[in-house]
Amino acid sequence: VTGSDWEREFADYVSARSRLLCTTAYLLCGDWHRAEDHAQTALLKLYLAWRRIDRRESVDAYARRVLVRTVLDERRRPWRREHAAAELPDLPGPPDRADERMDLLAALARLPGRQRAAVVLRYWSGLGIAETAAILGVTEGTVKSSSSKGLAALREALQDSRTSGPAAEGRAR
Amino acid sequence: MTYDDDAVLVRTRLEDVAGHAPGVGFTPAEVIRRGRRRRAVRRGAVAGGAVVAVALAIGVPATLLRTSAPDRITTITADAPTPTGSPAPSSPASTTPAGVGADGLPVPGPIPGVPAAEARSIARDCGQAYGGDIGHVNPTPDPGETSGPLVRDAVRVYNVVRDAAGMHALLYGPGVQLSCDVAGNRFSSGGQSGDDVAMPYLLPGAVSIDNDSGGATTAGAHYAVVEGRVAPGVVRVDVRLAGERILAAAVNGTYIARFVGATPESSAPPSRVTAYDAAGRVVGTAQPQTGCYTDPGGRVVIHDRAGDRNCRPATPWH
Repeated sequence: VTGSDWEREFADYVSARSRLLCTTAYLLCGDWHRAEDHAQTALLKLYLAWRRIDRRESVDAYARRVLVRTVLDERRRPWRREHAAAELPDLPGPPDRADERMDLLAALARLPGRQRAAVVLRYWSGLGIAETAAILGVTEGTVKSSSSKGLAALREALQDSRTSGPAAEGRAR
Repeated sequence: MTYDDDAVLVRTRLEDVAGHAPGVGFTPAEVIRRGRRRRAVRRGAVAGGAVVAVALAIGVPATLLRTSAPDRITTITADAPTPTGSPAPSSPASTTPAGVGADGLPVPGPIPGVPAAEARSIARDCGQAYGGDIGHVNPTPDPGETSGPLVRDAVRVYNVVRDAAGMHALLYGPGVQLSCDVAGNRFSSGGQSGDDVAMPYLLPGAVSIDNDSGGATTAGAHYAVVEGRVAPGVVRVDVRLAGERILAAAVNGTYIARFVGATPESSAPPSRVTAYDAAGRVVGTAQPQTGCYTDPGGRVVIHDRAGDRNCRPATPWH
């Protein structure tokens, strides 16, 4: 694809950020294939809006907001018919900790959407409370409570999985 | 463990998952190609939508707008097997929109059992729960470059059902459709905005399925919901789902059929939707994502998942 200057600028952005967006979506939805779909949807919307985003520093915020919205919209409809049912993630990598990673994804999937998004945005994306609140369209107080509840629920789930989950079973074997 | 300990643990685990994620399977060039196609389709569709909106605004009857698509309702009827039975006479009375707004969409009239003030409140809160802006589908000179109004300010409630699972509202705005569950003062909205260039100006025939999904309320009640829009003249819609049947009255050019107790397993077969006119005649049927349709300019704006062949002209909503 050869295009105008702004399209080349957009292509550079996609090259630099597509993995980050896919990974964020992956943590939010738990399935890499769907994560790629969500990231492409977000990037498509970003492409359409690219020339009206004046400040470059706001591009990441815009992309994150669209991405989170896209994922949460789908999550509100867990069995919307035109979407494939969620599949267990098929992760490459060394087998020693693969079960632990699956435990985390499963624990994340059990969180309500807003809690999951708050945890991922704050502790994976490294965003502050105010920025997370802006992306989720909620108050800073809601972000604080969602983060706190999400962390507590994850801690509990991960502790449980150490004794009864797939990782524990794997270790027992 | 303290909050900070939890945060460190979770951050470490998140980074571990992220570090082992697969590679990205698409390229910047692919995104740009899709974006270019979307911009081209969008401009055409917006122009088509604007034609419909302007024609309605100056009072051109819907029947005249359909002259480029003769007998589309008849054609659909001929293709579709007539379901057994007819609408029950006891099902609620249908209502029609109060007119057409400046945005080209029907202005919803009264919703049975929902005072106007409550409908406005539901629209605001459901729109707020969805968030975001409408963006590019508005008929603006350069739709790809212009952000639209906030969803919460642009959507209107067209239909509401109250049942054992609570309240469910169906909302539309320019370029947006929302399905909203209301439990007390909690609002949960899902929907579509920006991706469907025909939404909600054009219909695939006499009846559309805009949402065919399900879930559970905050109280844990499972449900399936099938809902969408109908063409003028449709007064009742028969929705069948896994042996269950709901006869829904057309309200403001829309219908909602919510099956309380349905789960993904119990409602696996695709829903079937049949639209009736006031005389009880079948005027159209719909199944999810079947058939392709064109706007008044001849561009395909509603796609068939199996491929766009032998597309028919779409029907103006109202």
